[in-house]
Amino acid sequence: MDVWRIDVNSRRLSKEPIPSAWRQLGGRALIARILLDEVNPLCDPLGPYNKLVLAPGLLVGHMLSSCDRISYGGKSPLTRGVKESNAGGTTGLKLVYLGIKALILEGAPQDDRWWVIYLDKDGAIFEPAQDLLGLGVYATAEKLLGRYGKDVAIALIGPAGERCQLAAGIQNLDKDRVPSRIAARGGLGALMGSKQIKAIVIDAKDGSKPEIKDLESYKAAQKRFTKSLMEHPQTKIYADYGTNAMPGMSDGFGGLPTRNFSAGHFEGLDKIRGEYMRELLLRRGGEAETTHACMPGCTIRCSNVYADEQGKAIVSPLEYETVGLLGPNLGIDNLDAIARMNYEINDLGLDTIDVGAALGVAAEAGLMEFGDSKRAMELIQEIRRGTVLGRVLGNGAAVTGRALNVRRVPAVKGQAMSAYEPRAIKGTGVTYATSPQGADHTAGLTIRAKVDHLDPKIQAEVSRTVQINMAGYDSLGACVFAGNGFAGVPETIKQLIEARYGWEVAENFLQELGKTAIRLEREFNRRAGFTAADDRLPEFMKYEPLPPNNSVFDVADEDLDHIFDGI
Amino acid sequence: MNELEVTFQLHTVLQIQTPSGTVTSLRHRMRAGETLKEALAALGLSVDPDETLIVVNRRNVDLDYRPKAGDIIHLIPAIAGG
Repeated sequence: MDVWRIDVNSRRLSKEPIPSAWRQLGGRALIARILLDEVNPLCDPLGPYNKLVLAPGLLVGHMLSSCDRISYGGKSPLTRGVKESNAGGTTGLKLVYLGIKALILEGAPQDDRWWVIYLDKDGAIFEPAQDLLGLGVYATAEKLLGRYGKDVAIALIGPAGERCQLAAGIQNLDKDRVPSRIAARGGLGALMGSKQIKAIVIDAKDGSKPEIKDLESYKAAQKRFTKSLMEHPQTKIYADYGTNAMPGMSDGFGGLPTRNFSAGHFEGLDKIRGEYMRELLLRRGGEAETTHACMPGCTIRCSNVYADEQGKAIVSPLEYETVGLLGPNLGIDNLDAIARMNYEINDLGLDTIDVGAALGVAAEAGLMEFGDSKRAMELIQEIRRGTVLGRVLGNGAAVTGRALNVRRVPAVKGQAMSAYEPRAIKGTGVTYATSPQGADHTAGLTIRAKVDHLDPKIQAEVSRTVQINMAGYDSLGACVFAGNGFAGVPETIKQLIEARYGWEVAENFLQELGKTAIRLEREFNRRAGFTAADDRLPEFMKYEPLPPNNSVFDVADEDLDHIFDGI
Repeated sequence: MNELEVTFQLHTVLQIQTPSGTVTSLRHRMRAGETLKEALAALGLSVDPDETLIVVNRRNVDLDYRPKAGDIIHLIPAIAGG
């Protein structure tokens, strides 16, 4: 495999051997290493010195169930710190088929032309993208699939990314070629837009599966992992209900963010929860699917297709985080309305979490009534029209809070929290506060732990363990839910890596990878000017009791400051 | 013998499908002082304590918990998140 480097100014590609310090890293850990080695942490994230990195995880390439995720990274336009955001779909798989360890986009265009980068075995071709400008991701993907054929993978941005809006993500095709798998967090779509790249098309028809050094051992480990994953009880729950199995669980702990994080219980729970959604979709039929794979070969199938009363698809997938931020967080208990908002935000190429949180902040500022889904959609259309208000909202919750003078803004390091209230699930609050990524549930969610989530004294340890594991999985290209399979047979991680690459790695390779990623990320943030003061939740959460627990976030600052000691 | 009534809220795969609809909660009368384990056995509900979050008053409890009158007991098949 090679590192492919593209200068977007000269539009030239160079293929380089992998530096030795990068060799045993992948995904999130590799991105952190590349950023530390090559990007000035003080640079303007939308300027010429920032770089957009695409790095498949170490296990990507053989359709090992739920292990083909692609990581994107760069200095975050949203947090202004280190950023890795990953997605399912087919991008990671196709990059690996072309032998790409990492794709680095650098430099800045010197004129106003936009491009599609077409990658195949022979290299990179820049093709004009003027005809795609202003198009949403669904229309853009359709055009590109018509132009390049049905077998390509595509990474693309929407109008929000073109405008360098800070909540813009990068979309990827799912296995059905729908651009629904978004590397949503941290504004990496804005970074891609700053390079004036509308899409990257990956054509791997002349590529090949990566070499496996010891096929017999690999297959044996793969079989054990797959069996463990299929037998895990959570796999059936995700297949039946998707991630929207979560609202009842979050609400059960009083941790379902409601009306801009002012309550942890939502009275409309029964109309938005996964159990209701499943019955609704089964009844509606047509294009509705209660279970759907986002990556080829995934056996969990936690995705879905949400359809209207006529059975016509509205959006795919409808996930818990989106339901949480666009539903209870806005006081809205109508899944059809939530699904339609989800489609619009996807089409704009934006992160539903940060936009949902921004709308909650806007409601608090009086721009909409909580529960008014029609008005929420109007505000989303302001983003599409590019009005001043729309430009504010498309920059996410933190910017919206500043622009509208709202004090209750659920964000850390400029990035919005997802659908877990940190005053009720305090371990996740520790993750939000201390993750180098900013508030991000995927960095270390603790709600599954059988602990007292309200006890402030134990939360740092719970969060630390999960954060290290998650950083490891993000470096392998493994979906967080693949972790259920690996949890039963943890030795298969070492076996798969050694069989594929011929390396010798430690028994705790997952944790070593995770620690490496976090250590490098924290160093990047330190050089970018971050201090312990940035590892804090918003102040209102320390003194404003959250009903129904009436709890505040009271984990000691000292615990936050020392969470990664000795890592 | 003192009796008390509690309500079990059933989540996701623990909900019971019947010809007349989905059963999402069960009211249950039990002897005061009985444990959850005993109450679940009386109801015929099979719950794997390692894979189920049992939540009362928004806190995790275990099968040795002794319910109080009026408790709403959530039986939540555990998942890692969304």
